Amino acid sequence: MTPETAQHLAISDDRITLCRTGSATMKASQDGLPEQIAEFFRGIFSQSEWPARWYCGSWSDFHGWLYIVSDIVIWAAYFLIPIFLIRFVRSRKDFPFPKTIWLFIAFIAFCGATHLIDALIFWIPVYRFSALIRFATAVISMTTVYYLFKIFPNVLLLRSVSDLQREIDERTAVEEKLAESEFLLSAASNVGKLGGWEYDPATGQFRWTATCGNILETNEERIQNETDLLRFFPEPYQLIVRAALRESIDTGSSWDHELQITTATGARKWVRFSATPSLNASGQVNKIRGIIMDIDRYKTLELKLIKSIDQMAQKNSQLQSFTHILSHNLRNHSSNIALLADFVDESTLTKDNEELFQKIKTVSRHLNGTLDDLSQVIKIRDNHLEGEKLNIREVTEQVLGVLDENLHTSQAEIGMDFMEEEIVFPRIYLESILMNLISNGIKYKKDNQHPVIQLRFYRNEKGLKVLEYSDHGKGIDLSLHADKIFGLYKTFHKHEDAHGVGLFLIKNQIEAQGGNIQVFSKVEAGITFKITFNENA
Amino acid sequence: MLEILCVVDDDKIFTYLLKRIIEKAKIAREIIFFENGRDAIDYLNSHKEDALKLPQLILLDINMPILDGWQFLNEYGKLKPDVPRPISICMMSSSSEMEDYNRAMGSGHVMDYLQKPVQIPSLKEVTERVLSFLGPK
Repeated sequence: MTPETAQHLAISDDRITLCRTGSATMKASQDGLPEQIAEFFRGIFSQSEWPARWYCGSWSDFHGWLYIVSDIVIWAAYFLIPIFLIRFVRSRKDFPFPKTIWLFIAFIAFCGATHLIDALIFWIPVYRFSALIRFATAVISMTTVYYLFKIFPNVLLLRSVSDLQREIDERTAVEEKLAESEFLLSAASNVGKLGGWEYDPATGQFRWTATCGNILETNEERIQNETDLLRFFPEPYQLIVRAALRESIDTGSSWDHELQITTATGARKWVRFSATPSLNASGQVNKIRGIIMDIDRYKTLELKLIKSIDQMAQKNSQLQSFTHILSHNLRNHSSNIALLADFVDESTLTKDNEELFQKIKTVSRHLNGTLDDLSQVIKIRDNHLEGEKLNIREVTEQVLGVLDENLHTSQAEIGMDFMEEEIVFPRIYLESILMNLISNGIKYKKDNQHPVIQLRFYRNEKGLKVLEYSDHGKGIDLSLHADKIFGLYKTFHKHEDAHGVGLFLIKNQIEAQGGNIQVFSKVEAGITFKITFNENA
Repeated sequence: MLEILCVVDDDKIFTYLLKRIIEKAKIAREIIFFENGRDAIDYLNSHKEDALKLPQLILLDINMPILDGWQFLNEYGKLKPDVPRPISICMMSSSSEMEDYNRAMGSGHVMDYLQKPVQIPSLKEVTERVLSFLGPK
């Protein structure tokens, strides 16, 4: 293994064994650089200028082979690793940073090559070639470093497998929730019989949710265009739907109609059909979305209710005119009787007949009185009078003025405690109420006592105005008469003026204006009336 | 005392009573009765030239067949310009509705509205007013 060109010359007293070639040692750097480079490439594979490494210095077998084997193994590894990398890059096209991987492949391969050559130099001293390969390795390595530097931030962004797995888990959980809520929504819309739809004006095609199919009793996927849809609408409604769709497409206006449909099985149903167009960036209608809802149950009820109300209103007005006519005619007859009675010359009657005749006159008087009451009540019931702003004290004093004589005779004491001043109420009703209550108070005073009456006017906890009348008169046994006290012609005391109409009338007047009246009383302990007004009615 | 008084009312009993009242109170010399508005208008139309045959006062009921009180007023309005001497009309009704009162007074032909049963004093008062309105003969 000793090449002729190499000579191992040992200088006897030199501790270092020098390597020398046959040619004289000449410093190669004595040539100029360009000459050196040319020389370099010309003899790229030449071995003549250096000894094989076995002969360069003292290499024990162990040392030499350790070096050689290590280099060979390194080369093997550095040869196999790129093969794996190449397989990765080729098979997984989505492997990140492919260019960098190729660079790695390259620099690892070259690095391996340098080690292989290093091992070979033990026999074939191709030092020039070795230098060139090293240079290439250096360039590729630095390029790789540069690339790594460039991609470093992106690498940091790469998520680890556990990150990705976590994200997948999260997404799966969200998808499950979504599926749940979609199910709930579609179940809800099924129960509520509410279907959604979408129309694309560009294609003229409809899309429907499953509930629409249930409502229309058909496979909703078969209803694709406007013609398909219109088949479900009977005549007058077809026009409405057609016009509404047209308008939405043209002007982007929304609509909401209650219409009748004929389902695929021939059933007639009321539906609510509405649409809301959505506009694209240039203001044109690109999609129309809406709902179709089965409102048959509600609509049918509504129509029945309206019919009932109409019927009732009709009956009511019939009743009103009936009572008018009846009371009018009755009054004609009763007034005639009264007049005729006036003309009879009672002096020509026998005693019996005269007595009977007197009774007839009394009956005629009562008849007229009853009819007067009737017409008053009818008037109150029919009309809701407009309220006016009244000063309670002023109206009370006016009523007291009218009753002045009675008050004087009975020596009545009237107390007024008005915490509020004004009330919006019809004047004649308020006068009637005060008149009735106060004159009742005088009428039903305790025997041998003069009437003591207290009037209060205030706002209650609900903010409504309340007029309170209380006295210390005879009172009423409410346990016996509670439900009759406001009844017509119900009297509770033997009093010639007990007409039984006053309370009935004022209750009607109060209620016609949206208020209410309550009574509190005990026998011999006076009576209290509480009238709650409702100025907003 | 009025020369001629007209009563337009379909209630026979009431007109009988009215007749007795008018005679008793010596309100008018002659009373002409009509059972409905049509008969009354026809009479007025056929005698509109003759001042002596026309009444000074008409007592007019509201509810009557064929032509009721309101319709009579309507027809009377058309005939009013042709009449030589103005005729006073007083409405009578058992209705106490404000609307009827307002409608009567708003027609432009009615001078008063009496509510049945009609009392003698009210009739007398109306007659006095008509007489003073007509002036001395």
